[in-house]
Amino acid sequence: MPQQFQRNQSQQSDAAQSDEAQDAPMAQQSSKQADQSDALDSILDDIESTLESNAEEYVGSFVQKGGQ
Amino acid sequence: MSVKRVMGTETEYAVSLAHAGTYDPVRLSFAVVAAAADPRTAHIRWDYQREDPVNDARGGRLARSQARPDMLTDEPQRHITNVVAPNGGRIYVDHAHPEYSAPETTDPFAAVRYDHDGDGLMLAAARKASEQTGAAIALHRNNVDGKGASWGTHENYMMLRSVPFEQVAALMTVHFVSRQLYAGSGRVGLGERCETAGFQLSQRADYLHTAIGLQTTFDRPIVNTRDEPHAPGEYRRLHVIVGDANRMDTPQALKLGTTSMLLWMLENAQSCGMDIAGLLDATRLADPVAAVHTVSHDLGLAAELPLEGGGTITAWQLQARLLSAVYETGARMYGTDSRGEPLWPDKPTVRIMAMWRQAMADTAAVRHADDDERLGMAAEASRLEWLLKWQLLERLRRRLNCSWSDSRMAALDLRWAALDPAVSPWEKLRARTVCLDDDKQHSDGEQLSSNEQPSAAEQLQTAEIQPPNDTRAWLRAWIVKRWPDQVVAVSWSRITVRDQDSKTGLLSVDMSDPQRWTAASCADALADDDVTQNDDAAQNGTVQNGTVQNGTVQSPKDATQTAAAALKLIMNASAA
Repeated sequence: MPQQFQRNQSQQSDAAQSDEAQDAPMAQQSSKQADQSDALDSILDDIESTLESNAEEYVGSFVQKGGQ
Repeated sequence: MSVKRVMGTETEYAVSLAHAGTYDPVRLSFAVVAAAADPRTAHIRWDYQREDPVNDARGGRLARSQARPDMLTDEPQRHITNVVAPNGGRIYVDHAHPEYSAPETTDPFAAVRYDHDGDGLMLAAARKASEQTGAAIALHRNNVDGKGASWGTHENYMMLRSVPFEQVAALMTVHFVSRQLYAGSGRVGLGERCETAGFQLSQRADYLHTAIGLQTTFDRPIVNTRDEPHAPGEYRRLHVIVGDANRMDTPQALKLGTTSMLLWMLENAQSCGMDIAGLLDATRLADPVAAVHTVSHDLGLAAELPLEGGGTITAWQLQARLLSAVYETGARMYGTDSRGEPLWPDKPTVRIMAMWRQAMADTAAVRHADDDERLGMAAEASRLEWLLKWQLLERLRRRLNCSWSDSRMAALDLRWAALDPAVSPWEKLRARTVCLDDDKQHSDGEQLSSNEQPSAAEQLQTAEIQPPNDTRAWLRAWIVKRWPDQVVAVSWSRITVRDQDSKTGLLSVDMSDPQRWTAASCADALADDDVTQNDDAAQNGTVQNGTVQNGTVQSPKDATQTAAAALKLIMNASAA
C-alpha cells in the first residue's frame, strides 16, 4: 500500500512540524506579554496627566439623549 | 448565498462639546450634518415614500396613532438635513444623534470598510462644524453615556422571506445573547446609570428589556421586528439593534459574518435536511433578557444560563452549538475536503468561518486565564475588543490603586470611543490589532508592528470615497456625483431626477432590488450607447468597452446626456 504509507509519512512530518510550531510561540510568550504591557503602559504614560486633570469634567459633561 | 448577502450598518454617534458646559445635542447634530453636506447636492431630498417603520415582521401593523412620535421615522422634523454620502450611504439627524448609514454591500468585510468611511466623513464634518460654529464639537463612537441614555449601532441583512419569522427570532435570540463573548466592545459600569461599579463585555446589554418588539428607542427588544425591506417581495430585512459600536475590525466583521451565516443556515436548512426545530428546542433560553445581562456582566465567561426545557448552558456552549450547526449545514450542502472542512463557495465565507473558530479558541483561552495572565494576552487582545479595553483599564486601575467607579476609569472608557485620534487611546493601539482591510491584511495580530498607522479618518482624507460596485449604491452615488443639479430625491430603493420629456417633469426609477444597478450592469447599458471615457475616467482607468477597471466607473463623455437619459438607457437594458 505505497500510497497509504506515503500519507502516513506526511502526517508524521506534519505532526513534527506542528510540535516545532508550538515550541516557537511558547519561547516567545513571555516577551510578547512584556511587549503588551509596555505598549499599554506607554499609552497610559501619555494620557495619565490629562486624565488626572479633566476626568470628572469630561465624564460629567458627556450627557446624551437616547437614540434608537 | 453564503456569508455573502446584501448587508449594511447604521451608526449613531454621540455628539457633545469637547470643553464642558451645557449643550443641546439636537442642535449640534444638525450642525454636524449640515457640515457634511456638499453645496452641489444639498438640495436633494430624502424620499420617505418607501419607508414603513410601523410594519411588523410578526404580521400586522401598528396604528400610527398608537405609535410614539419617535417611532415614525418616515415623518421627520421639517428642517431635517439629509446628505447623500459620496459612497452612496446616508448622513442624517436621527433623534439627537448624527447618524451614518453605510451603502449596501455584499459581504461582511466590505460592510466593515464602508462603515469606516462613516467615521472619516463624520470626523471631517465635526471639524468643519466646529470651525463654522466656534464650538469644539466632539463625536464618540459608543452606545452609552453612563447616565441612562443609549443610542444604536444597527446591522441590516437581506434574507429570504420564506424562512418563518418565528425561526429567525428564536435563533437570533440565542445568537445575540451569546455573541457578546467576542463581539462586545467593553464598558465601564454596570446598569443603565452605572449603578454598580465594574466592567462588562457589552455596551448595549443593560439597555435591552424585552425579548421581541417593533420599538427601538424605549423598552428595547433583543429581536427587532421592523419589517421595512427596501427590497423585492421575496426578501425581508432583518434589522438588528443589539450590537455595540466596535472600534476593532475583528468583532465587527464577526458580528456581521456569524449572523449572516446563521441566516444562510435557516434559508437552506430544509433543503438539506437540517433539524432546525431540534436545535431551537435544545437552546431555547428560559429568560433571554436576563441572559443578555448575565453574559455581559460575567467576565469569567462561564455563567450557566437556564434553558426553557430544563438544565443550563453557557454562552460559549451556545456559540459552539451554533457554529457546529453551520458546519453541518455546510458539509451537507457543499461536501467536505480531506480535513473535513466544508467546501465553502467563496473566500469571505472561508475567512469568516476561520475567524469564528478562532473566536471560540480565544474566548476559551481567556476563560481559563486569571487576571494576571489576561493582562499579557497579546494575540487574544488583538481580536477581542473588550479584552484589549479591559487590559488598558485594569493596568490604569492597578497603577492608580483605584476602584472601577473612579472617574478616571470612566474617562478612559469614553476616550476609547473618541473619533478624534488625538484623544483616543484606541488609535494608538489600533496597529496592534488585526486589521481586516484587504490591502493591509494581517493573518495574526502578533505579527503587527507597533508603528503608528494613520487613523481611519486621516487615511480617508487622502483617498477619494467610492461606492461599492456590486449593489444599487453604485448607481445612486454615480448619478448624484455626475448630475447633482438634476437629482430631486433619493431613497434606498428609488431615485428621482428631472426629465424634460415627462409630463410631470420628473423621472422616478424603482431600484427595489439592491443587487441590480451595479457598476458592471450600468457600464454595459451605457456602453451600448457608444459611451466613451471622459477625462477623469481616462486618468483613473475605468469604463472601457463596457467593462469596469480599477473598481470604479466614471461618467460617460457625452455632455448633452442627462441623468434621465442615462437612467432610461440603464432601465431599458435591465428590462431586456
